[in-house]
Amino acid sequence: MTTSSTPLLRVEDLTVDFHVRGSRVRAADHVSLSIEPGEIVGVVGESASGKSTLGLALMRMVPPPGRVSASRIEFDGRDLLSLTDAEMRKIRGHEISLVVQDALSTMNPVTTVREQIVQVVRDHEGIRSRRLLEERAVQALRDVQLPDAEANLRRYPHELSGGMQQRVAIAQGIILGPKLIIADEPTTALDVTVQAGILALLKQISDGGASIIFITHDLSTVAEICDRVLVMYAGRIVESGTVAEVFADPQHPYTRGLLASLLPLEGPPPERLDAIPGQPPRPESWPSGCRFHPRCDLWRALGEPENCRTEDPRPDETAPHWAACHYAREGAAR
Amino acid sequence: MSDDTGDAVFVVRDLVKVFGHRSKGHRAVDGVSFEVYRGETLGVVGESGSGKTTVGRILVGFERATSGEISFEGRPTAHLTRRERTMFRRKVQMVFQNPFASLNPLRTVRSTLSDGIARSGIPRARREQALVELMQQVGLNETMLDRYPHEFSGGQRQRLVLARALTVSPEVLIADEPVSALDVSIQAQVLNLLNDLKAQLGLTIVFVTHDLRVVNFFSDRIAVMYMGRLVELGTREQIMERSRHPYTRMLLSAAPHTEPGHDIARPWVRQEPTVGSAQTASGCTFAPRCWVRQALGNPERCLTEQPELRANTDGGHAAACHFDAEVPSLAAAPARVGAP
Repeated sequence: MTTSSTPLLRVEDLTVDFHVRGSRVRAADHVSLSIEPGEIVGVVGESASGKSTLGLALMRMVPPPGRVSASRIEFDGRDLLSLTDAEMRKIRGHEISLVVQDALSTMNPVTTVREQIVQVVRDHEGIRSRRLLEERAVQALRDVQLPDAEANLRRYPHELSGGMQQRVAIAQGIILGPKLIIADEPTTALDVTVQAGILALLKQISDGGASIIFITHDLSTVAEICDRVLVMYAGRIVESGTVAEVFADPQHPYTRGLLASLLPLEGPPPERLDAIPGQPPRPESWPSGCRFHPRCDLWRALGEPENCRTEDPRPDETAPHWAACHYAREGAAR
Repeated sequence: MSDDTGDAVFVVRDLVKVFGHRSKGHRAVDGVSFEVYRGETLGVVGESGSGKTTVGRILVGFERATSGEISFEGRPTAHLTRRERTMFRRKVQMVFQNPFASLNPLRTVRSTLSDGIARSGIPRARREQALVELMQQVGLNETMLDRYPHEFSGGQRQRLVLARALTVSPEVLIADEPVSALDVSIQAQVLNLLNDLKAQLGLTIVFVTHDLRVVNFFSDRIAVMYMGRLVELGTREQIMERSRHPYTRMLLSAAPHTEPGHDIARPWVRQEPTVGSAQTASGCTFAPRCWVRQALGNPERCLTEQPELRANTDGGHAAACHFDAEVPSLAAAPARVGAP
């Protein structure tokens, strides 16, 4: 899958540093990935894993004092890093758009839904005709299956339910026909019945040809709609593969732990949950070597080998399914 | 509903909570009756606006019911003497969702926990020992006693909140989304801890959550709420595996699968109701979204007559649906519930 066509997005060694009071905090550390056209790639991680920072970095929206470096961020044949701010602004929304968790906070509370949506079209396509703008807005709301589009266009954001707000945000995100949508926890704040609808909508959008980077903490939503998954831990990608492979045969002890933490919905519940001990580390104090080793049950089971503490695992990232673990093979065999 | 209230810690009858104007206001809780039995975990599950949080807050006494009656250990809570009220506040403790907002940032852990310990009648000489034991009980290191809340992670703070609730040796814990704000790996730890505490201390727990997986893991019985009403009540197996209410079925089928390769089309899951849509004065609140009603040719009765929560012969399994008997057979299409 990764070798066939030209990827839409190719990122190599993306690193995001925050320089605060003389010390450097590295939120994302040498992240490499590629996205094919029409693919949904899940980026899974807990808090401080760097998953949201990755999304912002791809939009070149990391706030100061954050600094982004990479040996390559190539999007649709262009090098995003060398673009001027003005050129990047044209790409944002138009070719790459961002949909975030809290849709309401991204909207102007004193303008109508119509205005939120048509603003994007006016700014990027220079369309001035009221009638044309109206048509585009109605179509956009229909595309995201918001019922009663004409009436909802006249409403203000707060008059909509959370699910409808998220649909409006997605409408805004797709109205210019972007090739890549970065969706950062787009369903986390939503009820489960509403989430089901939004996930189906995202799937439909990707079937229409757009690629989606789906950032989440919830592996079950990844199982629902993603083609591939990148598991992030402490600023790094620790496992990468197709969703089918990673769920059936997880190679990294962290991925196995996350999957074990997924509570079942059917059948009698387990007496105890296999919880990963400890807590996710903070960027100020990433552990040495493999950053997961202090929480790793495999490390303990193997008698705490020295290399986990001192050496970064260096996986072959060109493989279709890989994990950044010195003992991936031993772990999978257990 | 059965009138078997033997060994019920809480008996709740016709609970109503209206926010705002008495007749025109929002009926957050609309005629809810149930029991909480000693030693059980009752999961109260529902989506936003279901009234689940309000029920929890009324039980613990943070919110006053508009009408209806709650009795605790056989005594109506509206008419407790001062002495009984003090006892009630000791016996019933609450744990909130957001562990960042529920601890005083200016007080050390020692100071926060000492209040309850002092009130629980432990002699001064033994209090330090009690503090240390408490910290161990919730899986925290005693060396952390002199730290402030900001020095703790989310999971640790939720442990602190639990420790504070336990200082007064409560009998009942009302937990409102206690793990929702936590990272996945931390959720599992806190759920294990709650399970241990429940076993060790014989706690009765009312667990309010939107999360079906959590409620399935943690509950002996489950109450399902929809728009202020209790729509289904039964044991974990009855609700999770043999649900007889169309809403519960919809909720269960909407939850994401835990393994890839499933069809994600869910034709029986309807769009959310619009905000501020009028609550039907008569009839079933779920009728506008109900796939069973549609399958039955939209019977008029659902719009005119409010279904009562009725128990069937299956050991007190109760559903508020006129056509609940039809649900299991109709659910053949949306059934992943009870599927192998």
